[in-house]
Amino acid sequence: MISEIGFVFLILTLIISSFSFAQLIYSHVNSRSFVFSHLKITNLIFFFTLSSFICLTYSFLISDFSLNVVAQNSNSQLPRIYKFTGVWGNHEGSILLWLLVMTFFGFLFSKNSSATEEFKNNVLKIQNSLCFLVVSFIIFTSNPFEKSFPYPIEGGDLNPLLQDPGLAIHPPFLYLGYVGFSIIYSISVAALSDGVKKYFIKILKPWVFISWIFLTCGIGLGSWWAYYELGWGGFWFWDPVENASLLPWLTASALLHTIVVADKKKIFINWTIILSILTFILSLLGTFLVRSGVLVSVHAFANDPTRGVYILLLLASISFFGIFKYINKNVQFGRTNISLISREGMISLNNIFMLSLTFTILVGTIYPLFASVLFNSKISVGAPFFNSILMPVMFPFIAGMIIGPFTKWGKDDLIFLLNRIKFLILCFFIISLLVWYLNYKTPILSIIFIVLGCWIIFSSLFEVFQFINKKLRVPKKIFAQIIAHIGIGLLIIGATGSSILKQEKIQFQEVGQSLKIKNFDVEFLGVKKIEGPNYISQMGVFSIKKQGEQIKVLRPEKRFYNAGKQVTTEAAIHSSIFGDLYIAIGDVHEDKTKWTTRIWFNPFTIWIWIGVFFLAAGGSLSFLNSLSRK
Amino acid sequence: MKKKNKRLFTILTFMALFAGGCAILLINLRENLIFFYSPTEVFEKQIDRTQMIRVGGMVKDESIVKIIKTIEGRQLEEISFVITDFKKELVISYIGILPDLFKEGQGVVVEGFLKNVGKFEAKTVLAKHDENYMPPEIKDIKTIKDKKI
Repeated sequence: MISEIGFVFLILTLIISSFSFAQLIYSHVNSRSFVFSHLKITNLIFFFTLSSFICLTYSFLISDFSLNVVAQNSNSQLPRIYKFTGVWGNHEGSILLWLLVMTFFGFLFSKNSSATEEFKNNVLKIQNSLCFLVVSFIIFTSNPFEKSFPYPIEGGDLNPLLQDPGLAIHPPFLYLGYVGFSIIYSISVAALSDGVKKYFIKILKPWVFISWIFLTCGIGLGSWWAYYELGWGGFWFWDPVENASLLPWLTASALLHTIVVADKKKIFINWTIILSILTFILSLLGTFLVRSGVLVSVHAFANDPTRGVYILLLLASISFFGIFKYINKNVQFGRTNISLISREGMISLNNIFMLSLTFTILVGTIYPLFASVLFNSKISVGAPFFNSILMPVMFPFIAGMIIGPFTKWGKDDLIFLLNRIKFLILCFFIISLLVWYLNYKTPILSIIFIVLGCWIIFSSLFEVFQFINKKLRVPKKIFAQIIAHIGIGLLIIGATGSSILKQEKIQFQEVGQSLKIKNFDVEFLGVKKIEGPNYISQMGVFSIKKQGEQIKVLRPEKRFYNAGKQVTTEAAIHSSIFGDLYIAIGDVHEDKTKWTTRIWFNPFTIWIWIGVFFLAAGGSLSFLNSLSRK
Repeated sequence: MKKKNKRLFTILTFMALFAGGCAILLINLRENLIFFYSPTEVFEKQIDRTQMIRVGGMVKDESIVKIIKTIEGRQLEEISFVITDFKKELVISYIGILPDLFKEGQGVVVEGFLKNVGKFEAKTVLAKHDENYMPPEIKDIKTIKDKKI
């Protein structure tokens, strides 16, 4: 019953949003068009989608197996929290969540924007039309309320890998990011038909920050989950889906920098619009790649080709509409010359690098697709490609990142600039020598990247120092930038440590046997059998000793889930600021005394998560700042 | 320089840089591609033994053998198994923890280097990640198998 109501709400969403869509199309044919209040439509479709989502959630909670999605992705023994998160642990539910977020952003915009009523109406017209496209996709290709008869008494299982708190919050965050770009797209495209009044930058700004923050957190949570749940000892695998989330993140980061200039100097307005449109297109492309199953990825759900075709059409029409609007915009801006050694120049440089990275990762991600269509050869592009491209690009990028904040707006002089930061350059020498002295045995590449990471952090601190020295308070905007840049520095150090410097030991370990890794002694105490709510677990017990003293007991597990007959590995991690001790347990040997154990020491990994936190914190500060300056 | 020339110059510089970048990109891509073969192709094609490749097939029933080796004073378990595309068979050896969903009679993709004829040393074993999902490569092989039966 509840599920039928849920479906009715979806149909209502489709019908009502179609008004906005119809008008959007019609207004291009006939300029004397009828007028709806798109604000009201926005409120209605948000309410209907929310209701529909609640109905689906309810069906999951009461385990209504007459629904296909529930029967396939949930069962009665599942802990309640995973019944709830199971709602988006499958294709249909996650697309409904996507729609919910999209309508939610429209709703927020209708309530909390400083825009004029007319402009709001124009933006929401586009946003509602986007919702229409998504809801029709849901109804025609992936209806979560689809029923089967006769229905099973017991459901299948939620993929055990997804039965984890990290994953439970990862998709909503990622979607808030991805879909947040839909409102950015709507605002930018609406601004194009509006004659691009310059105030639109102010309206756009908070949305860019908030979406960026969510996307950053979403990616961070995703890789954190991959790190501790997959038991592979890494946090980033250059999987197509990971790349797909990185693409809009990169262009959004470029947008983040550009919009600051656009707001302050009223230049780069065109470029801001292009980046906004591009970012949303890349978000959609990511969705297409994940949902259509055209790429080999660990993330792909069971797939259906019609969905791929539909998303591709969606992608094409939304891109086409954005580009069409851009070409037909009825304003021209005067050209402004900017010099390279200036804040504007450095930010353009940042954008060039960000976009080059985006382009490179895009090529690496979709090349296998082209190769299989054009040359009929099956290939994959792995980590070596991305690493080999990323590394050389990082050097000028980081250099720009260090110098950028010290340049002046308008025009600056290289000599004066160097003079201003001469103390900083001296510090760089000292840091480099220090890092090198402490780590001279490690590979040169790791030293270089750790030094660069330290440089970024140090130059950011130097900015603070400069203000204190002049007895000034650090302006909020600059403080946000400093925090975010420190985040990047920490991220670089963490990523270097856990990729280049990681140590791995894999062996048969007998009960009672002790192994040495880094300065830890890892003693294997045995294996216990544990029963969880819906799984049986083989739990290894390891005593971690440092100089003979026990500091921690680690318990990695191998879980067997009854319902789906699946096995998962749960790694156990001991984190410290110097690195993580990471243990995964494998199979038992025939003689029952030895187990395969895999032990890693991943230096500095914790700094990756701290770095992501800094990025999000910096973004949040900018966001609050952009709100308060209205 | 005249204004028009200056703009032309800027555009040309950018285009040159872009073309250069693309060239580097493509060369890099070419060097770092990982090709996918079926066991039959491994025997038929000339494969560079220093090049990392992927091979996909079904794990042959009752072909998994585990032996203990001692490398650098540590005991290691070397797992070997046979993968097949129902025409040719390839022996895979692997040291490490097998993926959670690795089973006999199921599809698997291995990444590593070809050693001797019919022998392959895997660095990574990729099994399917979730019950309902299967990499297309494995799917293709499975359809061949289903046709045969």
